Amino acid sequence: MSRPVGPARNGAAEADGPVLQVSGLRIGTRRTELVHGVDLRMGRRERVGIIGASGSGKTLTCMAIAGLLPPELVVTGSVRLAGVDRDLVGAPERLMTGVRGRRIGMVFQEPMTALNPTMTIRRQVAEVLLRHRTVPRSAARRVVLDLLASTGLPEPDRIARSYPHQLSGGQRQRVVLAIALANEPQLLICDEPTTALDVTVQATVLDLILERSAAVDAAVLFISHDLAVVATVCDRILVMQDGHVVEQGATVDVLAHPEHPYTRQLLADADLSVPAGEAS
Amino acid sequence: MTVTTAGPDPVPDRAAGEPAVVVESVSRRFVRRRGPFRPARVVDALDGVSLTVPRGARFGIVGESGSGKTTLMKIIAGLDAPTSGRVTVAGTDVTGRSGRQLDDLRRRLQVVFQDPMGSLDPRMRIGQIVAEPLQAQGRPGVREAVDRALRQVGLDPAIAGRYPHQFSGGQRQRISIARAVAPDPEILIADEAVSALDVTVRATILELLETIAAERSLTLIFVSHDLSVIRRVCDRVAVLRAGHLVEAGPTEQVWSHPQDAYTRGLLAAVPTLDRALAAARQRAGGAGGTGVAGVAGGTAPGRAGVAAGEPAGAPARQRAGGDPGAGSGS
Repeated sequence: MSRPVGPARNGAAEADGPVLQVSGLRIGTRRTELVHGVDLRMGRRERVGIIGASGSGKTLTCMAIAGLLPPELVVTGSVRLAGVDRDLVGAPERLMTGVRGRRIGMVFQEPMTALNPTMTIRRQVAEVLLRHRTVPRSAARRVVLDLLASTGLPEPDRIARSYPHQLSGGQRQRVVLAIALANEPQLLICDEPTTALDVTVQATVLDLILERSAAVDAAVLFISHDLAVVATVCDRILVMQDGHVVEQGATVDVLAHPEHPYTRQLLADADLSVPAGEAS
Repeated sequence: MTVTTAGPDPVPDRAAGEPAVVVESVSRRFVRRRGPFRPARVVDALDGVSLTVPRGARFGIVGESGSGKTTLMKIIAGLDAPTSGRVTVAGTDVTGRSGRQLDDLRRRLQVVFQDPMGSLDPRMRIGQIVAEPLQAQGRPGVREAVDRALRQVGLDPAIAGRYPHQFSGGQRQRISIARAVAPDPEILIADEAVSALDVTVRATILELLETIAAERSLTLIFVSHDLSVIRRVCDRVAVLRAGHLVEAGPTEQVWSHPQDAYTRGLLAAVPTLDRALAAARQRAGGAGGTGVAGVAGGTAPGRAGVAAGEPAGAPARQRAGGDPGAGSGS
């Protein structure tokens, strides 16, 4: 059922090197440093998760990679993306707008805020295709419908004519995913993509993220506070605490045999298997 | 107000006597009036739901969006009225009452809502927020009750002069809980009270709710879409789907032996670490895993493509044939 989607072109040129290479990434305000040197190398199609409590720096790290941090935050270190000649740290906004939506796709927690409430779904999906000129205008209409269909949305034509408020939360997140993957990016960043969804909808959206990212050969950088969700999606995990990466490794190693006390604490906190009455 | 000293089992003192809440064939129909461009539409949010919450129980109501769990919660809390049916809270029929007549109910029953930022007035100081329900009920000794409530939720009473935005999500949820328990209710309803919190904060808030329920001998009604949270907190659970009661019973029984296919689906959809790790092991072992093992729902055959997606930079740190389970034996 893997429908061919979008233009038939692929970033096969940069076959073997890492898709993303982050070295010594530091983020801070003028006075305080918030992220103290993150190193991360992601191969093609690799799926990497970042876990940690609120304020551990996982979202800041992803935002820095996508160049979405407010200008008052100081970013140093290096972020290299395959196929882009220069370092993304300190890159001009013009370069970054060409990278986001084209080479880096993004899915955030709240699909309603990611979509424009005044535009139809068709226009929003078409916009990302036309802005990066990956699809000729004449073909955009058909590609939009293909993209919507590829995310399992029923009646793509009706969805295309709808406004975001007319869709359910799960449907909106599917649309956001269709937009994020429209240009077949090398890297898909997902920041708590299913936190606002019901468990059953979450299951289908996770499936979809796996299926679609694999279909377009995208690597996935995935943030969630739900360890089971991260383990479901990711091959490798970074654990962040107070701006430091305290542990990293293969999913199974980190979560089944945690070495850092903070990882153990996270696992203990996430464990709800103690039934009522036997707790505490 | 009898205050039992600690003990994880809140049942004994109040087990006798009438149940905390009795819901009898409650239906709630929403009618959207016909507009110029659309026909009238009738939605039965609840359709003949009956359940009994025993006194001192920790009772879970679980269901997806649109299952009617929030409508049911609102009707029990007197925030909405059923189209038909009857709700009795602590022996008093609360159906069809409004305004003043519900004062008594409000004394007995309080609610903690999901979004602590949305439910705390940003222009009021913490002290005022916690004091408001007490003042509304004309209680004496407001100041002391506020201090006591704040202390009970683990906050320093000195913060009473601050504003909600000065606190983190977890602290704001503590403030919501303080406001709810300050009037000494018999019944505490928590509506998705931990859904917006990260695991660490969630663990502390769940513990807090359990402690408070035990210390104050509260009946706790916990509404959530997350069965694993319900299992942690509640001794009984009712499963709702599209306005109907699908299944109800002791939590462990429903969890281990769900009778209804819908409940089984709901359970299968909850991602568990054990299942996720088993699948991750398969992927890492190159055994050609099948993507999201154990996750119900989208079973697109195209998922085979995922298995082909072996990580390029697969780390060397890999243990062969690891033992299953990371402390979360189910």
